[in-house]
Amino acid sequence: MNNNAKYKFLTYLFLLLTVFVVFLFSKNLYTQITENTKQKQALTQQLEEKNAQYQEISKIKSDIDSWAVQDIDFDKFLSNFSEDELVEYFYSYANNNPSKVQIQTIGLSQWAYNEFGFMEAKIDLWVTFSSEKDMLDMITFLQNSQKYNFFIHELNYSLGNTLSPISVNIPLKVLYK
Amino acid sequence: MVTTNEYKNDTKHYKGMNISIILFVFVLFSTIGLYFYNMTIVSKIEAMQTQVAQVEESIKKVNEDEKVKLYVLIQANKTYLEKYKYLSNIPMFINSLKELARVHRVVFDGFSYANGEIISQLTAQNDAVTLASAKTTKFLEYFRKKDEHIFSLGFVNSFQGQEGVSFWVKFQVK
Repeated sequence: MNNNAKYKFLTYLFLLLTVFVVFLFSKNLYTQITENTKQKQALTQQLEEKNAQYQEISKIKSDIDSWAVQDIDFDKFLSNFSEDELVEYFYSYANNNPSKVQIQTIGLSQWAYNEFGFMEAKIDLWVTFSSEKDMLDMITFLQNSQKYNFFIHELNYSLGNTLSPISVNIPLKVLYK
Repeated sequence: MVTTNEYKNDTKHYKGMNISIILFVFVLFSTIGLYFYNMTIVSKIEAMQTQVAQVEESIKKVNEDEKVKLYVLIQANKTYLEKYKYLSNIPMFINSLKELARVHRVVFDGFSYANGEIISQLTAQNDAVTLASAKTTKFLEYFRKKDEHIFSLGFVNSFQGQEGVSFWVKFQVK
């Protein structure tokens, strides 16, 4: 084999090897690098978001632990919805105001999650009050309860009746977590 | 003896061979470089996946605290809770009705409240100073011309009587 043919052969051989390397290795590696770079970018973003979320939630926890959060009464939301405590709560008010409040019936319904993620229970309180003022006093007492988150969104009574006793159904809503 | 043409031809093919070798070496080293670069990215991805998992675990741990869960829930529903509380302020609504009755010298009969809407029957009577109709007009004017009250008055479509004018009112808590 003369030099010319040898050079030619080696030229084609290396060109073939180059093509072989490019198609079997380089191309695949390039594809992998492209995909991995995308994955890395997505992970970087995810990590940033998670870190921000963690920082935010850690701050909340440290604020709660250091009593910096004062506008939320956690105990009211974390109280249990138990019949014994609720019944005791209503009757103790009535017993403390015997001439003003007479409880007729207390109806409790099972709790259910409302659309906002809180547990919500309903209590139907049938009460006879000596006067309208006594009714408003009890409603105010319930609204300002230190123990429960009571809400009243319905009420029917004969407004203006200041003389005779009033029997009223107070449909209470209790929110808790 | 090598002729000039043969020599030229050899040199040309020799150069071609060199170029193909250089190209091959370049491609080979580039591929090795890509391989190590890819390995670096893969190890970074693995490290980041571990980090994400660790942060998620930390978040989960903090979230297990009932107070934190509650705080997040309350903050997310602050507007709703404020509205819930406001619409529950029945003594204030009743007192507002009484104040309206006192100012306009009318009487409200009955109180039916549901989710921010109050329905009652209003009666205006003739007295020594003002006619019932004038009281009625003034009352309606108060809601139609001013917008200062905590209630807005719904359209009133029926009035009964003359010496004593009565009609149903539907207030919406603002």
